[in-house]
Amino acid sequence: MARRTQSILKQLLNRHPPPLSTTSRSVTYMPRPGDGAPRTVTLIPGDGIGPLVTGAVEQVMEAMHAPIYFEKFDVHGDMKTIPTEVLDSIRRNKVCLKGGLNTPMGGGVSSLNVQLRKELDLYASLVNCFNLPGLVTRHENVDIVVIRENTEGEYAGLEHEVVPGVVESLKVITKFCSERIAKYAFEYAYLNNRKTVTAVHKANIMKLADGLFLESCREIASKYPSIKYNEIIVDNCCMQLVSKPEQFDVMVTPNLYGNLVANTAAGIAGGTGVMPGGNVGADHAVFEQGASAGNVGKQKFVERKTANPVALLMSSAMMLRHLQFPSFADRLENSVKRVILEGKYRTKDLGGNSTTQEVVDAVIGKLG
Amino acid sequence: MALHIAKRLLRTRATTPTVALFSAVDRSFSSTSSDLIRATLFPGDGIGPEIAESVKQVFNAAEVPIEWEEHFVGTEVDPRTQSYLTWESLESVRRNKVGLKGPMATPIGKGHRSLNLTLRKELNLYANVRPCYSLPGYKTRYDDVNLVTIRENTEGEYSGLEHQVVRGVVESLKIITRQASLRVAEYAFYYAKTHGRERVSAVHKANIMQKTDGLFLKCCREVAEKYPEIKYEEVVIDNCCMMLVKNPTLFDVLVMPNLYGDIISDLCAGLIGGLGLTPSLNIGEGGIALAEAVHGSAPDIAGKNLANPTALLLSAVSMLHHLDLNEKADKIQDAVLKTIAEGKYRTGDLGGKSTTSEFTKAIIDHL
Repeated sequence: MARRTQSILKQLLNRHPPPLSTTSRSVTYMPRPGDGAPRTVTLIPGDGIGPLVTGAVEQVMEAMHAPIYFEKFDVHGDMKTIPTEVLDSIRRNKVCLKGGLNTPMGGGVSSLNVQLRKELDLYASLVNCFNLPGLVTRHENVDIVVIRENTEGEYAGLEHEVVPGVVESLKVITKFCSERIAKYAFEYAYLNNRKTVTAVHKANIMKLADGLFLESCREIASKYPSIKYNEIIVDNCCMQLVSKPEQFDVMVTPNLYGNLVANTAAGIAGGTGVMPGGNVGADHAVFEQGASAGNVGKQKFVERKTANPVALLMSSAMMLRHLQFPSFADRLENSVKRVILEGKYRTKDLGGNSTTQEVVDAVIGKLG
Repeated sequence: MALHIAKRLLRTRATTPTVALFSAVDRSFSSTSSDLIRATLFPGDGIGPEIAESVKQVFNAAEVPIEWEEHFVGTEVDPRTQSYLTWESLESVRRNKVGLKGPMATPIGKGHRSLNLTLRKELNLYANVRPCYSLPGYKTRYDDVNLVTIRENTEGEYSGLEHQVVRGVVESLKIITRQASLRVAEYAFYYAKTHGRERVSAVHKANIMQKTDGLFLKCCREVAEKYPEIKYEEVVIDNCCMMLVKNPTLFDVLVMPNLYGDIISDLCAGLIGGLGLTPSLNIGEGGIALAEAVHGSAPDIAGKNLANPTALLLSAVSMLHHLDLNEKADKIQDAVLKTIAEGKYRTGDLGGKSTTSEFTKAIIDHL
């Protein structure tokens, strides 16, 4: 009899996971006097679905009465360079929230996203891919943070035509950049209680370039003995991501592999519509959708106003923590998670058919 | 009699140049029904010999008109090839134009090239084709994968040209040439046409690497114009990765440069169950086709009759498709899929307890 009740109890508990605690006492953060003064944040809506999702963030911030004041700037992907006033604003405010800039394919204009990162030296790009409770995906127990070197590597943009029909592109790896990204990755793991850092590389083929990256990672790893460090080749990594993603924790990668791994990880955990992310440097931080896989320009999302605001909302929660407003961040995040858990208001990429505005209203409604 | 020969001459001449370039049957003037096609077989190391034996048995039972010429990796470095593969082995593949390779373990050490690199450079294998389809009966998280990845295998990021500029700064060259891109694009569309595929997607990152991937895309577009019946689209690599893990049915044939191809083809292998089940075919200049099993040689289970011959069998099937022996290919493929779907005879890596020989026998029974 006791055995049966045990299994019945287990069944009951598994079927109804405990809800996100709303009534229990929350953590108390003790601010310094004057921390409540409003902070200015640069806002770049961008192209395509950008204005839609940044509008969502603005609405939610207002509803929460968050001490954030947005300085909006109009930047489009087909501009030649980022206007200086935007860069000055970001340098002044130190924090920016960006929708998305659509890079025109194939000709002439170098990506504004890349330009922004280079100008402000945002050398680390961070994407947090995790399973949202209530969102059913093929993979469970996913909680991966991909930290990707953002300034050099394959995206250095140094290409030239040697002779007609033969084009060369330079992939540059420097010890300086590899070291600082490795340092950031291990520091992140240490500050966020993460257990493992995995370096992704292709050093069996690109022995010098990725070999240098690995060397830097190994050096930094020796300074954090409590954090486990291992290395994995990028093609094996992608294979493991689709079969056993629970083995990964924090991943540090050079530029190109990071792009692929981040998008793959985002895809297995629910799609790029829900993953938060941002770019951070020594002095500035730009928060945006974690892994944007080219949906910025998709016209039909713009027309039908069905872009998913969850990713940018979660990124703005990260931004609130970065600005040291942790309570607001927690409230926003919990509200978004509750909306996803409920499942009534979901945009098309999550399997529902709500519009952006409906999701935003639901989030505002659930703000505690 | 002269009329006969003249008729056959005219018929072979009438085939389009691309077909003549890729087809391996277009060789002799004798009738193909009674002729045995000679194919080179490299059993390889570790579990290689057992699974090669399995392939030979299945082919015998299916009465496939292939005569195997076995070659083994030598025990010392051949100075003519600078590797453990002998010159005779390479000549054999060049002569037969068709081959099957088991897993080879490159011996550690210096003074010789890796075996795979030797094969690739000497035979000029420019395209690596991996058909990835979900095996019914072997459940993975993805049930409806049916795509083919075609990867350029000679240049791109894997040219191996790196150097240290100053201490702490390393440069690696990624090279894209018009010739190589055209070659692999031609093969991709040819493959799509002959295998009844409807769409070819070129995977690139031309928004960032505008000149290099831009050149690759230009070549793909040129070839696409020659095949108006096949739909052509271009997908950015990060978008492609994301769509592959969310919905693999969106893709049909993928053609891409070297690095992206490496990552995407392994990702697709992961979708269907790993490298132990993935077939692979390398295409070389002059219509050479070398099918290979991409998994390792698994020295820990070598000789114990526990290995899974599926990858090598399916690679051999794709080799048969290349040789236009389509009904034999389909027969063997159906037998393999049925055996796995049934679930009674499965080797250890698929979760079963059968031995290699039991699995092979089950396949032969299903023929």
